[in-house]
Amino acid sequence: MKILVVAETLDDGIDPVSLELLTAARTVAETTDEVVAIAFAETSSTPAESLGSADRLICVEGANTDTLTPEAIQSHVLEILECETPELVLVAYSAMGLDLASWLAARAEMGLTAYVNALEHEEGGKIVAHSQLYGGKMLARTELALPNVLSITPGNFPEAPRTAAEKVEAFEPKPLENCQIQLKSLQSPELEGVNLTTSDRILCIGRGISDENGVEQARQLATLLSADLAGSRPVVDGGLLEKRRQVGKSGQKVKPKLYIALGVSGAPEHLEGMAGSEKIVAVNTDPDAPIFNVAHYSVNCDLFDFMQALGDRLEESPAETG
Amino acid sequence: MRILVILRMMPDPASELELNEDGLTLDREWLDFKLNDFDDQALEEAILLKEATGAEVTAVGVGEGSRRTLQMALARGADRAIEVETDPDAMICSRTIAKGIVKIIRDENADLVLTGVQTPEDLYGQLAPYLAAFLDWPSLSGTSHAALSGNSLSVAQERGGGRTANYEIALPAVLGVQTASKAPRYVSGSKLREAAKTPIESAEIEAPPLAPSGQLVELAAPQSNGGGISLGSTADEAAARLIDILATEA
Ligand SMILES: Cc1cc2nc3c(=O)[nH]c(=O)nc-3n(C[C@H](O)[C@H](O)[C@H](O)COP(=O)(O)OP(=O)(O)OC[C@H]3O[C@@H](n4cnc5c(N)ncnc54)[C@H](O)[C@@H]3O)c2cc1C
Ligand SMILES: Nc1ncnc2c1ncn2[C@@H]1O[C@H](COP(=O)(O)O)[C@@H](O)[C@H]1O
Repeated sequence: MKILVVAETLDDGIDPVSLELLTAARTVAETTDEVVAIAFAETSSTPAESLGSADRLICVEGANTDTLTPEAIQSHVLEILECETPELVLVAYSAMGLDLASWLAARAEMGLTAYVNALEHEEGGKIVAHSQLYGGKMLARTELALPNVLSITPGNFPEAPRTAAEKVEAFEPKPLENCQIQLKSLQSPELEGVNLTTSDRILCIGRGISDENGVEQARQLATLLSADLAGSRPVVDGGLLEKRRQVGKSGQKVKPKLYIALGVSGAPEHLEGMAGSEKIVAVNTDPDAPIFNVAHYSVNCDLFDFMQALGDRLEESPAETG
Repeated sequence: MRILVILRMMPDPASELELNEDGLTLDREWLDFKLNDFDDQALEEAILLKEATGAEVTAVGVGEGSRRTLQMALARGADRAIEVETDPDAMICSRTIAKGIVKIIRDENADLVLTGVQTPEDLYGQLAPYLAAFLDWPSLSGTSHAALSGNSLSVAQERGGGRTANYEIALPAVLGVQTASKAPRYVSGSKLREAAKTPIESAEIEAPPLAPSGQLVELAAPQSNGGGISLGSTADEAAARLIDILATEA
């Protein structure tokens, strides 16, 4: 069996999720199987020095995946796939992966399995993928039909060691004709003032917070707790908090000592940004909310009652919070 | 410009999800269905584009209970609505409906197709890139701003870490919308009642589905650590316990 891993490359190296994909590939690879990585990078570059867990590395020289357009990535990966005819293709569930995975499956006539967070290799060679559905409330186990493209959720496999690849080859793709997409610019968020990635304490509010009044109450509570205020995606999308305060897949990856989640359901895209927190306290009215699957302390009650009770006590004796 | 927006109904993830005895399917009998969140954003983006450019918007509703959603879409500003029926007992699988939706897109002569970036039932892949692959149109997923400039759209795409990529994409195109340029609007009851008078067309998914990606062997609630330690059964008790913990641990 041949397993192809599509790595994501940046200006200064490799996206760590690509190393997770290599571990995922090794989870299902037998000793005789070949793991091949594709990197959009020069043959002698940091990515080539990091992807040595693959048996072979194919480098598409020129631009990295950060600056190539999705249509260029689609076209080049499809071309390689047609030469290599792998049984499995591993792609990260990321911005790039969303543009690539299903498109590739349709064009190359492969299966597709999304939201994968674990893989099993069963006797008789069957491969079973675990996928998180319904915002993490259900886990589906699928016996894969081959060939198959797997879209793998970041944060579920350990990173493969960064070693230099032994077999490296350069691939010259067909030039892209008739481009329909142009990249105009790339922007990074302004983190000055609040940088959640360095916070010790975070109070995160989810959609359960409802409106401005809820946010104001949470802001006061955060001050009493000496915590930074953060939000899930719907809170930021709804204009209740600034983008730089978003935690998760398309927000910040945080690792505070304490993370209090109020009215956050705990979708995989949120967990991706905070599951590594040292202590997680979850407050939610839904006893089945997936956030409770990662919480160290759980509170199954209304978040407004909880904010009120905690705020009252902290106002009485602020010194106790350390 | 003709915009088609695809609206899929989903089990409300906030509701209690129960399994049938087969251990493979959700018990749909008492489930609450709602419009997929990201499709709601796609609808708003379509209406905003209509307001900015005079485009015509057709809403395509897929799944159980989509009639009400289509009425809501009309009340929000869609010009037409088409209801597509699917198997009420099965999840809405992009891989199964993609080719049928492609046919509707072609029949409708659309220049732009908007749908949500994903649904929580997308076990076998996301709809927007499937559609783009079959139509041979360019596509972007995870978009957060779309505006017409000449014969193309300027579109922002979200990356990890809060980063944004700004693109120019030629029409016709497919977008998997993450966030509309403005939050979805609320419509009044009177507008809804007015919209209820607009007839809703219907369409069938006739095209054969893609080959299956595999076989579902189990659907189950994920293993939990049991929520860790419960801090108590009332808000007050929990607040007191948390303060103790803050003083000693965190
Ligand atoms: C490509 C992509 C990237 C994404 N990136 C991110 C990201 O960076 N960050 C992110 O957070 N999400 C992200 N998402 C979205 C993610 O899938 C979820 O939609 C989102 O995390 C849900 O936010 P939530 O938990 O606040 O809302 P919901 O899922 O709606 O949950 C609200 C919760 O609040 C509870 N609740 C309601 N009222 C109360 C109350 N009064 N008291 C107590 N509890 C209450 C409910 O029981 C529920 O569990 C991304 C999605 C995609 C597709
Ligand atoms: N944001 C919204 N956009 C469109 N329709 C809505 C929205 N919120 C509620 N509705 C519908 O509007 C009607 C009246 O809602 P309400 O005013 O919340 O009782 C109901 O049919 C709701 O489903």
